[in-house]
Amino acid sequence: MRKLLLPLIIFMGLAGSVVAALDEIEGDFMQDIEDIQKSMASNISLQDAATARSEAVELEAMFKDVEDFYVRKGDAADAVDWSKDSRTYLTEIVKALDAKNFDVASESAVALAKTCKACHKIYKTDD
Amino acid sequence: MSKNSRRDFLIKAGYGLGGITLSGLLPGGGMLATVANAATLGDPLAPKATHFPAKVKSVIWLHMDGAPSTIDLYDYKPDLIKLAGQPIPASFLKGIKTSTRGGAEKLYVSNRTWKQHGESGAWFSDLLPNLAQHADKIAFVKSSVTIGATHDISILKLNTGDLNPGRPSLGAWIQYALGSANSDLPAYVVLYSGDREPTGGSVNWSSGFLPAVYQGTAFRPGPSPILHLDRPELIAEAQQRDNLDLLKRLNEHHSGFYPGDTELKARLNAYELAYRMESAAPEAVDLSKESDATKELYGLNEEATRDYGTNMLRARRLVERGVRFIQVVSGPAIGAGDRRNWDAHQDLEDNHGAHAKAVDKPIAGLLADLKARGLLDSTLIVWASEFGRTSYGESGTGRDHNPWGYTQWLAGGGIKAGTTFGQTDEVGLQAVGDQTMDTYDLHATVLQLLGLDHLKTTFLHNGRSERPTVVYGQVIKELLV
Repeated sequence: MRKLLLPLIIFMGLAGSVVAALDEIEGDFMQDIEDIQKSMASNISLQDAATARSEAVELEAMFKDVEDFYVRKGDAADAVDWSKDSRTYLTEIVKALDAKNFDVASESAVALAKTCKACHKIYKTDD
Repeated sequence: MSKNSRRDFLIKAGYGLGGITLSGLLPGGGMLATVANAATLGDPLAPKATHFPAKVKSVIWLHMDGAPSTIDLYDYKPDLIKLAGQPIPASFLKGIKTSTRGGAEKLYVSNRTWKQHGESGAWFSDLLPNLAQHADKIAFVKSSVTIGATHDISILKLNTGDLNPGRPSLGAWIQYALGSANSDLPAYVVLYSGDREPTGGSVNWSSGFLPAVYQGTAFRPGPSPILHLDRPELIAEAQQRDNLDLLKRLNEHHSGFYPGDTELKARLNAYELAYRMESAAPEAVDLSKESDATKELYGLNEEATRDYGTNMLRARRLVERGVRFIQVVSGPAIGAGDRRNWDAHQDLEDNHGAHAKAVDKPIAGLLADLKARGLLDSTLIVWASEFGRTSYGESGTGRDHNPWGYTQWLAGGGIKAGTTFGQTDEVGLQAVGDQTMDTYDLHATVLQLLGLDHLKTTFLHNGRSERPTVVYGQVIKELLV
């Protein structure tokens, strides 16, 4: 039985990673990003560095998925760039929070939000 | 306060103050930032410190209801004239959705003449001959962008920063953050013309999730700005004062048993403000003592400009009395057909001719009068609209909504007058380049001039630190001295 279990776990793991890769940008996924982003901005304002930091890290990973999606999609260099910019801002936010520099973290969070708007203007659908 | 009645005022102000009481029990006290911490629970309208020295004391927010076509007022586009009547080249439509009302029609040009004015050389069309004389007092933003939807929704965004009701308007945030400079008047007043409330209604001066005491107070047109504010006919002033004094003593006696119950104290404050407003509010809007020359300056002697001119002159008087934020909504215009506002989907010539005439002289008069009285340096005037209008036509004689690039302007204290920020493309359809200004940026800039850091003007709501600019907003430093 154990001989069968290990390959099954490996198979499930691989299947999971395939599922995790974005086939398309779902509205719910982007809504999650927006919700976490708002929460992060609030936590920066409340100077809750630990929570804001974990949210920034989570967002950075989500934007990596967005970036990978647009790379695979092709013909979307601007979206790839905006995704990379977003990850850069999130890295800056993490550094600022580690230094307890909430002003810089706030400014970077605003820049991140502006990048989101720029991308949405082109790629967000109305449905 | 949609019904503008004294009873509404008392009830809502009382509830609002009660809200402060409750929020004060929450972690963070509901009032988070250093600015707000100066507030006392007893008087939420007490003056509060700014984050840094303010450039202005008051803001006059001129909302051009219905969205004027700023390519027919300020944003001169020779290429649009050359290309008029042709389909808009696809390159100009890149990145925008034109499906709001059925796609892009042919480029349209109205019957305008254009001229540069002042040392700045700012362009004005023949629709604004009086305002053009003040070109060098103005800083234009020719790259305004927003979210285009219905008027109601985009007006809500213009005033509150969100597309859904529930967030505080800019004026409410300002009143919350700064308190009142005149204990006899509301710090946030809304002026409008006509017999109906402006498009979208009172949600555009709502306090949203802030305590209701910070909402705007709409002054109706006419001599009695707030319904039922006058003392009842059969009660003498001394009698009313005696009644209020008795009420105050009883409440104070009662509150002695409940020292933690600040709602009672807050309700008492609301009674007293309403009492003081009985004389202060009508006096503030009474123009009978203004000189004939002043009335002429604002266009009160002409039917076409009288209503808006009256509001401009009232706005100046409110500025003189320390009101922080005066939101003036443009109203119906004589000769504009059935359109109450600038929403010229057809017959743009008639519509804009009438609406421009209604506001041109009064706004020019306001700028001249503020300057002459030494108030321009401490007042900010903002020309704003929910969006602009397209360079392609609609119905053959009008223009559609344009949230992708339009002109707004600022004048007054702290403003780099005679400058222009940003630009639109060759036909005036979309903002191009890195210099754009969304609603949040405009709000952040206005707050900055009032001495408020938009990132630190916060309120704890449902456990989240909220601010006027949501998660956006960058101060447009190029507009500031």
